[in-house]
Parts: sequence; structure tokens; C-alpha cells
Amino acid sequence: MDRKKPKKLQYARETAAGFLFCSPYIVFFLVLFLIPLIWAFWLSAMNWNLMSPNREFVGLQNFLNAFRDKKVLAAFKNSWKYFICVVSFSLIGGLVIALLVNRMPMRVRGIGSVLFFIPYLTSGVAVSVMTKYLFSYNSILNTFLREKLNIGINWFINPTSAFAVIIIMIVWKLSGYYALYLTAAMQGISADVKEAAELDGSTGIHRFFHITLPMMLPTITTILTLAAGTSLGVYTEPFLLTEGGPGNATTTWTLEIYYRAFTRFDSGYGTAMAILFAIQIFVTIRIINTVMRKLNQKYGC
Amino acid sequence: MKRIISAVLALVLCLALFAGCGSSGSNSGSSSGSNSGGTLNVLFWSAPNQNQFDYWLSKAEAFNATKTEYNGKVIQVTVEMTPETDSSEAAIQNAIATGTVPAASENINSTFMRILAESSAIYELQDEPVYQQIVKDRVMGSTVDGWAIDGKQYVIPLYINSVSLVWNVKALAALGFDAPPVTMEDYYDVIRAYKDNQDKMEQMGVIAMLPGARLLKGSGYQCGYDFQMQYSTFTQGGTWLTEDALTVDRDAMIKTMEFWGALGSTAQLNAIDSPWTQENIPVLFDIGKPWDLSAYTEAGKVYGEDYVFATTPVEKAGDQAYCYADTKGITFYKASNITEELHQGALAFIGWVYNAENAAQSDLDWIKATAMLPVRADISENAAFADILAGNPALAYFGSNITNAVQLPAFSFTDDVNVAFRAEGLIPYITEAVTHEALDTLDASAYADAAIAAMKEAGKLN
Repeated sequence: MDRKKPKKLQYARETAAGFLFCSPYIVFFLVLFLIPLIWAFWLSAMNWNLMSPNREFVGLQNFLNAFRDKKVLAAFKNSWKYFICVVSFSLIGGLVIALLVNRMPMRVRGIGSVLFFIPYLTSGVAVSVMTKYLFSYNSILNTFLREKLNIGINWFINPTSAFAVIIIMIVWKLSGYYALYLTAAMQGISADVKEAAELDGSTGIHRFFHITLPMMLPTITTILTLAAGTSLGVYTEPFLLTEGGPGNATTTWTLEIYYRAFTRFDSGYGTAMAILFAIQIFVTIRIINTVMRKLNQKYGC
Repeated sequence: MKRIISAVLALVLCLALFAGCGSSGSNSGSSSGSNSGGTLNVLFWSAPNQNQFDYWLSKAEAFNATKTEYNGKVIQVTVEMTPETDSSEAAIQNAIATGTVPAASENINSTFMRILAESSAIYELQDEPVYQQIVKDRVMGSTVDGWAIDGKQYVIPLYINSVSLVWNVKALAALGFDAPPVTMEDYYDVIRAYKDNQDKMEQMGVIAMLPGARLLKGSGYQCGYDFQMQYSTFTQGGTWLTEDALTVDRDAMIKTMEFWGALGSTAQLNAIDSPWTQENIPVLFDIGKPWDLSAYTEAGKVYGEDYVFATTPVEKAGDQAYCYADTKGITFYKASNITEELHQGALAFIGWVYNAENAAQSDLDWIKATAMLPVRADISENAAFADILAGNPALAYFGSNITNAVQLPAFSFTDDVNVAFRAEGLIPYITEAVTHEALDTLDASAYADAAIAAMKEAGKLN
């Protein structure tokens, strides 16, 4: 009995010390995540503009309205389009850049990586302004197309071309960034593995698909998760280039949440939209992680 | 000892985590004022641009020098730019929600004013002696009527931009016209002449009648430019939205849409970069906005030689033409952080800027600082403004239109209704209309009906 007491006391002391050392994160989590999250759920059940002393409890009405809202439905549909296009094209772009960089002579490899990384560092606003100019009627591109090839494209009027322009911008920006991860992953594959593959007669494309790519699966999982977050949260490019148009062809969740909460001051509804958006991101990333875990188990290292 | 060190370390980490969340002192702009040591510190937010900030800063410095007192305390006005968190309105919303709103701010439009008023976030002004004095001393007359909500006033109107059309004088002359069209018949004549002389126009560098990308924008405020002024002209000042009903005149809406649709393929929907500041202006006409004047001047464009402003063509000679009023004013916030003393301090400041002695000079300073016209009914007649208007015929033109300028209806749902009009009516119509030849005007009836249905649904209107 007497021997048990000090053990219990020591356990309690250690637990308390553990909690004490974890307290900064716990406080951080409570103040910056849990409390705002609870407040967001509360706000989503209100008809309130954050300014009026009168707020009306509407329960789940904001969520039900969102399911009937054409703009929300367009944002939901577009988010998948952005997700599929951005993730696949930026991954392919990143892989191509990584392969290029990997084949560069050692002395210029660093510079090559940095050059491809620069678009990621460029401000989205600056890129959007330049893109707007590039696709304007009197730009060099359009003048060339019109005068030399007799092609006149109304870039931001046609839903397909407007969407394509935004995708090109985002892929251009992200490919170099993801290439950094992929280059590191490629360089992390040991020479022994490559040598063994060569001895077994696996070279070129065969080696890439059967050795290199499977060994890069953990990195690709990270990239897919990052790209999913970025593609679902696109805001600057459509905001500055198309305002979500033509029609609702390029609108996004973040754009509609901004318009609803900060230009029409429907904060409760805007928050309900934000929660639905968060659920979509959560589910998407869970799906990616599950699929990639299975792929890793089957093909990865 | 270990436990104490652990506790101290954890505390330090917690404090470090949130160090960035604190206020950075008196310059943070998070406080709207306080009573301390016989001084009443009143915070005023200017629009987020340097010209307007400079104007208000100079007025605050001059006012502070008068050592005006309220309740025995000297009023000290501090001017800050409205923080640029996406929009001024969003910044004010955030400030009200967090209890950091200033005592007063400028740059408030009528729609946002209504939202603030319906949220009980701003003071009623109609019974304030300061408000009554300003309306009288600034000779504002009936210009304030458009700001009333159920007979109550919440804003001191500050400036007005009477938006109309701007025309390319050289291109018009090349087509054989010495002035912009006055009636719709004249307008069709111009389109016809342009259509018949497209090669000649292209040789001059004029590649389109209108840079029409704006017509495809979905934002509700764009309706001021491409719906409100044409509709007002076609209905001779008719309204289209009330508190609970869409009272739009269907025929006038169709005429408004077909005003643009008549241009057909001569409207260029691809964005044209800064057309009015290019060496050869590549379009025949556009929306004429007073705040673009300085850019025109900097580009060396001369009013009357390169460009000229004109109202929307009227249906028949003698009809009144209307402009769109882009107008903003000053509000006084009612919030937990604004004491009665701070409110009175803010009123005293604005009252001083626009009292009988200072009003004309303040408004003159405003024009010089911003090139925008103050809301005064006597702008064209008052001798104080004669010199500046004589030296700037474009500004004089806008001044002459102040009384015919109409704001967008100021309801909390106006933006929703406007967005619906554009999404379901104007944008699909224009997209199709530009595939037609000029003057082979696409019938807008079906598009107008679709727009009306969508507008009613968006605003939950009868």
C-alpha cells in the first residue's frame, strides 16, 4: 500500500508536467481553433451581419439555403474542376520540371531549380494583372492572333477559355514549387536501387514507372494534399480576372463566401458556406490520403 | 524548483504565442478615442486613398489648432485611412463587430448607409443642429432628399460624381458629327455611320464603338453605369425598386438593354487596356467617369478636342437626360466604444469644416485635392467655384449635371437584385447581341423577362 502511493504521486506529477509543457499548444488550439470553430457554427445558425444588435436564430436554414443557391452549387461544381485540372496538370508539370532539373549538369542544377521556383514567389495579384493585360484586346498575343492567324478569341467571355486561362496561371505558379519536392524525392532514390534496376534490365520509361514513381509515392501524396488545398481555395485569380464569370463559370467557394459575407454583409450565411467548404476540403483530403495510403502499401516503398 | 521552471517556461511560451495579437499602442487605429487629461481624442477614418486622406488631415490639423472644447475638454481629431481589408465596407463591418470603429468616417455609399442604419450602427442626423447648419451653409438644398430613409437622414453627403458617357471627338468628327448624339435617332445615326465607315475608323485606330467588357461584369454596382442612367432617362426619372417590390418598367428595361444591344458586333467585349489614355483612342464612346479625368489629363488628352462628356441619348428631343450619381458621405457611428462626448466631438469637427465661414473654402480645397465635386446645389453659380470650373470644362460639365444625377436605389438587397439582373438578363443578352450586326438589334424581351423573374427572387420582391 505504502509503496503504491509514491508511484501514483509520481505518475500524477509527470502527467501534470506533460500537460504543463503541452499547455502552449492547448491554449493555441483553444484560442485560435476551437473557440473560433464553435463561434463559426453558432454564427452559421444566425441571420446576422455582425453589426446589428438584433440577430435572428435560423437553425439550419442557412445550410438548406446553400443547397438551393445557384452560386454555391456552381462553386461546388467548379471546385472539382479546379481540383482535377490543377492537381493533375501541376503534378505533371512538376514531374517534367523535376526530370529536366535532374538531368541538368550538377553546376547549373541549383540555378535551374530556383528559376522554376520563381513563379511561386510571384504575387498572385501581379500575375493576375499581367495576365489580364496579356489577354486584353490590344495585347501582343491577341494582336498576333488577330493579324497573323486571323483568330479572334474573347478570352474572358467564353467560359472554357476563361477557365483555361485561370488554370494555366495556377499551374504555371505551382509546377515549379512541386518540382522542388519531386526533385528532392528523385535525388533521394539511392544509386544502389538504380543500379539494381539496370542490372535487371529496367531502364528509361520502364524504370521511371516501375522504380522511380513508386518510390516517390510518399512525396506525391504530400503534393496531392497541398495541391488539393490550393486548388479548392482559389481566390485571387478569378477575383481579379473574371469576378467568377462569365456566368458562374470560374467562381469558387472563397469568392462566393467573400461576396456573401463582405459585400452583401450576410455573415451568417457566409459562415454556413465556409463550413460546407471546410467539409468538402476535409472529405477530399481524407479520400486522397486513403487512396494514396493504399497505393503506397501496394506499390510504394 | 523543476515545477516552477516548467510553469514559467509554459507561461512564457503561451505569452509569446499571442504576443502578435496585441495592440501596438495608440497608433494601432483600434481605438476611436478616449477621455484623458482634458483632451477628447476623436478618430476619423478617411477613404483609403492619399488625396482624401491628405484633405482630411489638413482639415483636422486646422481644427485642432482652434482648440475647440466640449464639456471642458479640448477636441483633438486624429485622421487615419480606412484599413484596406478587401473593401472599406468590410473594414467598417469588422471595426463595428470588434468595438474599434471610429467616431465618424467618410466614403459611405447609400446602400451601405442603409445597412448601417438598419443595423442601428449610425446616428440619425436630421434633428442635429450641426447637420441642419451644414445643409444650409453648404447650400445642399434638395440634394439630401435622395439620402433619406423614411424621412430620416444618416449621412452628410460629401461628394458626387455624375457619371455619364464619354465620346471620342476626333472619331465623331471623322464620321461627320460635331457633337455626341442627343436623341436615340442621333445615336442610331452614329452607329450607322460607324458601321458604314468601319475601314476608315480602323485606319484611325478606332477598332470598336464601345469597350464592352464592363457589360459582362457580374458585380451589382456596375448597374449604375449600364442600367441606372439609361433607365432613368427612358422613364424620365422613374424608379424601379421599392422597399418590397420590383417596380421596373419592362419596356424601359428592354430599351435599356437594347441601347447596348444595338451596337451588335461593333462592341468589343475583350478588355481593351486603358483606351482613353492611348495615343489614338481605339473606341468611339464609353462610360464617362469623373475620377478618370486626371488620367486623361496626364495622358495629354484635351476636353473638347480629344474627348467630350454627354448624357445618355433621350428618346425624343426635349426629354430630360439623367446621369448616375456615384455619391458618398460622412456617417457617425453608434457603438459601445463611442461615448456621447466622442460623438459630439466628431460632430463639432465636421460642423467646423462645413460651417458658414469654412464651407465654401473646404469644398474648394476638396475639388483641388480630389477633382471630385462636393454635394452642393450651387456649384455652377457660386463665385467661389467659378475660377476652378472655368479652367476645367469637364468638371464644369459634371457640375451642371449634379441635380440630374440619380443614385442606385439604397436597399440592403439592391446588390442581390443587381447581380441577378446581370446574371440572368444583361450578360446573356449582350453575349448573344454581339453576334449580330450593328443595328440588327437582338430582341431583349425574353432576357428582360428572365431578369425580372430572377430579380424578384433575389430580392424576395413582389
